[in-house]
Amino acid sequence: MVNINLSTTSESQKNAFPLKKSMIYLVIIAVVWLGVYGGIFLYQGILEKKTEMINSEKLSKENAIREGNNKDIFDFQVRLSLADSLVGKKSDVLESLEKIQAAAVEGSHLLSYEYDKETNSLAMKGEAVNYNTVARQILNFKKSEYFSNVEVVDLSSKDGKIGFSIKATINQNIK
Amino acid sequence: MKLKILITPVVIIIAVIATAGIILPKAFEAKDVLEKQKKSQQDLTQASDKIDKANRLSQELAVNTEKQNILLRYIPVDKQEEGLINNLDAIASAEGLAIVKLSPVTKAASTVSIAPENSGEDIPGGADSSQLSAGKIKTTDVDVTVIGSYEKTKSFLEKLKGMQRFNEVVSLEISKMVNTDNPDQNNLQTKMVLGFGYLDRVTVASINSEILNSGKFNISTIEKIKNSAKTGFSEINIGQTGKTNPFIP
Repeated sequence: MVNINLSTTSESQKNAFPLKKSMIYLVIIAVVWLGVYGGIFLYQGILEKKTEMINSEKLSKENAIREGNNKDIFDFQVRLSLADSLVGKKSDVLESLEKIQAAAVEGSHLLSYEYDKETNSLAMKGEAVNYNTVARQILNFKKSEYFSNVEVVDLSSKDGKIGFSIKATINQNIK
Repeated sequence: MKLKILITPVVIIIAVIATAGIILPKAFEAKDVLEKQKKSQQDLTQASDKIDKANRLSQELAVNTEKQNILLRYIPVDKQEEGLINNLDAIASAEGLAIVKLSPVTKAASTVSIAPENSGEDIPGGADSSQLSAGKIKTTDVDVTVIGSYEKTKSFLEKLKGMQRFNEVVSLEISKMVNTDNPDQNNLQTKMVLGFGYLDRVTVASINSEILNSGKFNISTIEKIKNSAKTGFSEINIGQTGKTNPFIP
């Protein structure tokens, strides 16, 4: 039996269709690609504009905080914080006088007292009835934890009394 | 024929390369912008919140003028030497001490170490370091010499400690006075240099200040001042003014 080709389209016409189809896909992909890119581009632009607006609003609000009556808030707060660290601070002078009172030995008394905040030191001059009393007085200062570096600067005898001069430092560790 | 076979994979490859090379970086860029916007939005919300807090704090200040006055008396804006002269005289007189000298010392303003016992620790109350450095407390010194008994001198020093204005003893010398006429009289001469604190008005306002985060003043400090500073700080009464000849007493 002889096969007879009844098709009216040529072979070349048949093969042209997939090429056309591919071109259509290519165009679709290109359109989608451009659409996505354009979308992202536009979205980013909108975001940037909005961010700029937010930043400028934020800046104006921050400036508003720094200006006007708000300075009073900061002034009050700084004073408050400073006062908090200063109020009720111990007085070295009063405390040292209390400690000297407590450490005073019978037969000995002070003639002068000097306090220097910068060096946190005390210089005392006194008088005692005899050397033994001076020694007891010095020992009692040394025994006190409040004083450190107790040092005898000078001893002198006059009119039957013993003059003494002592230096000491206020012990910061027990404050 | 070959072109026909290759066209689809080539198109796919081009699409993938274009997406990876152009769209993805753009998408990441957009994501970064979005994150920045979110951060800015958060900052804006915080700024709005801080404005609300600042308004509330301003109102609180307006209502609590008495507390403000206590604080401004404790750490005034300027030296206020006249107030010191008036009050030191009043305290010494009340204690029965004779004033030999009472004179403000002219010197470059010194500053007080804020927390020597807690160095390295934060200053309580929430002031940040920029504010504190902007507003270091200064002291003005006053030279005072008084004469009186030990008890009176000590009481004077106690009253000074309890003064409603911050002060500290910079130096002190007590010496026994020899009275040949009355050897039993145990008067002491006390020379002292007293440093009184003051603080220039703070003009630096920090947006990051802790006070704007907390939105509350630590008012307990005012109570502490009230409780520990009990020596009255009287206001000066100027009295009658005006003279035809200012050289006549």
